[in-house]
Amino acid sequence: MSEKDYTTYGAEELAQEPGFIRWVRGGDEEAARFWEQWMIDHPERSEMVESARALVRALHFKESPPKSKQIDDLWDRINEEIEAGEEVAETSPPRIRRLRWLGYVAAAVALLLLVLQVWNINRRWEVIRTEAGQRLTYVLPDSSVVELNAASTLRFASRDYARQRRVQLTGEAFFQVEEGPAFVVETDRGAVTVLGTSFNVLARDEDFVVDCFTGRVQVALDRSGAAQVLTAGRGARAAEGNTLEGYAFDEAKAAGWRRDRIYFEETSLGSVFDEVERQFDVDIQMGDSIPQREVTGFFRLVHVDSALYDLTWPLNLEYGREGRTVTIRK
Amino acid sequence: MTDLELWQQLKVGDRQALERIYREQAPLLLRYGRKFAISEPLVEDCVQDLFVDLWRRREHLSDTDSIRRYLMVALRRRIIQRLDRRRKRFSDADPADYDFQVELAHDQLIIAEELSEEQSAELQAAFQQLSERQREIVYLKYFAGFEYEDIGDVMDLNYQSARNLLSRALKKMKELLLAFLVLIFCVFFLF
Repeated sequence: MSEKDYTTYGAEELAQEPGFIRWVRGGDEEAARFWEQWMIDHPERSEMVESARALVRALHFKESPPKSKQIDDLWDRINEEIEAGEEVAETSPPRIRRLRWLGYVAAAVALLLLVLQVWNINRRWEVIRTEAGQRLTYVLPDSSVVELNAASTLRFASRDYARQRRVQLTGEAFFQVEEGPAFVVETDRGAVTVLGTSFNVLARDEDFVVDCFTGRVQVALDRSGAAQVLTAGRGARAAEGNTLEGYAFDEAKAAGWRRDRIYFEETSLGSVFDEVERQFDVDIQMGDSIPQREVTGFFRLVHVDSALYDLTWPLNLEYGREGRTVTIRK
Repeated sequence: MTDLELWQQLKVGDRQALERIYREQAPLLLRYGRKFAISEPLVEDCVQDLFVDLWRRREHLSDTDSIRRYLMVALRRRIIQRLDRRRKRFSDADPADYDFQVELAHDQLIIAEELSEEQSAELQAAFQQLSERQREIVYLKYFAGFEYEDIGDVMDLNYQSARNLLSRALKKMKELLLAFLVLIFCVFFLF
């Protein structure tokens, strides 16, 4: 502050100097020493200093500091709105325009769930469910994120969750788990235990398939106790005789539903069409003449017609659709 | 922890960072917001929206070395937008128009007998003659303790304009003050 030549300053300029303001307001000893000395050195400027000083002193504002209750209440409201919006806001908009309704449906479902949640605040279990044709993103109390694929259900005990991160899954979901104590996904056939990582779980009917994207994931089958630890890029599926079969997967293809694509490999045609039914909420009837076989490929989650086209033309099949009813013909 | 570090914690999704920012900044934001001549619930509403948005868009926030400045800029923009929306329904007033209501408080100076009540009233009147923008800039400088760079950001002015605006405001105040400065001067030297 000493480099400046304050003798050239007018009162209104001096009144803008931070060091000068600190001196007038008090509490800054260094500033006080400087300005008291400066006044001694420049007695001819004392009038200017006085007028600057008066100016700063006069600029004191009428204020009533907010009460701490107001601050607390407002924070509560902010928190409530954030939590209420989380399910809706975090639903990632589907990349393709025609699928956008899925987002709206998901938002509506999330909102409905929220209403139910508030309404039934004392209920022990939180149930997050998607119907056929819906997907939704849900944020758990610890900020871990679950993306729920179509026709899937996630349950967790809300009151116990803070103590024990444990969820139950039927269907398919992708988890991004916040760092913390063990996070357990329970399914009909087995459990997945992680600390903080991202992974996909498919637990539908007899299927139990886990793909690990980051970190480490422990997979264990309930009945046989067979267990495996998966690292990034590795997966495991329940195989015959209650064993776990490990494999490496291609990250570009795994959990493709999150990017509007469903990949399948040596999967029965029947289960592929089951997936189409879940994704687009349609009924598919296959003529008897269609041979059961295993197929490899993918379909896009753009529109039911393009999905059906993706699937049928390589197999020399045809399809007809009337509203929700689809018939596959040779 | 610096502002930048705290801000980055917010950006990676730390809820405690959000709360800390709120606790540190909300009192000032509420006080600032009130000055725009709007009801207390509306001020609270704007602050609420501001923080909810901060959280929702946390991944996309640009870095800042002054959280206070960032939030005041954002709050001011929000309030003025709200005012515009409300006003448009009634007239086609210039959207840059807004009220900035702040009063000087001279209780302490009067108690210390540095100012008489009449003088305080005159000063008050002089202060009220300043334009809304001048009053706001004086407030930002002497209440929030902002530098010109900060003021420029908040009020959307460049450095030199902020300086000029403030100087003009102070000059106006000083002229009035000079009239009874002699008295203040004497009182000062009695101490």
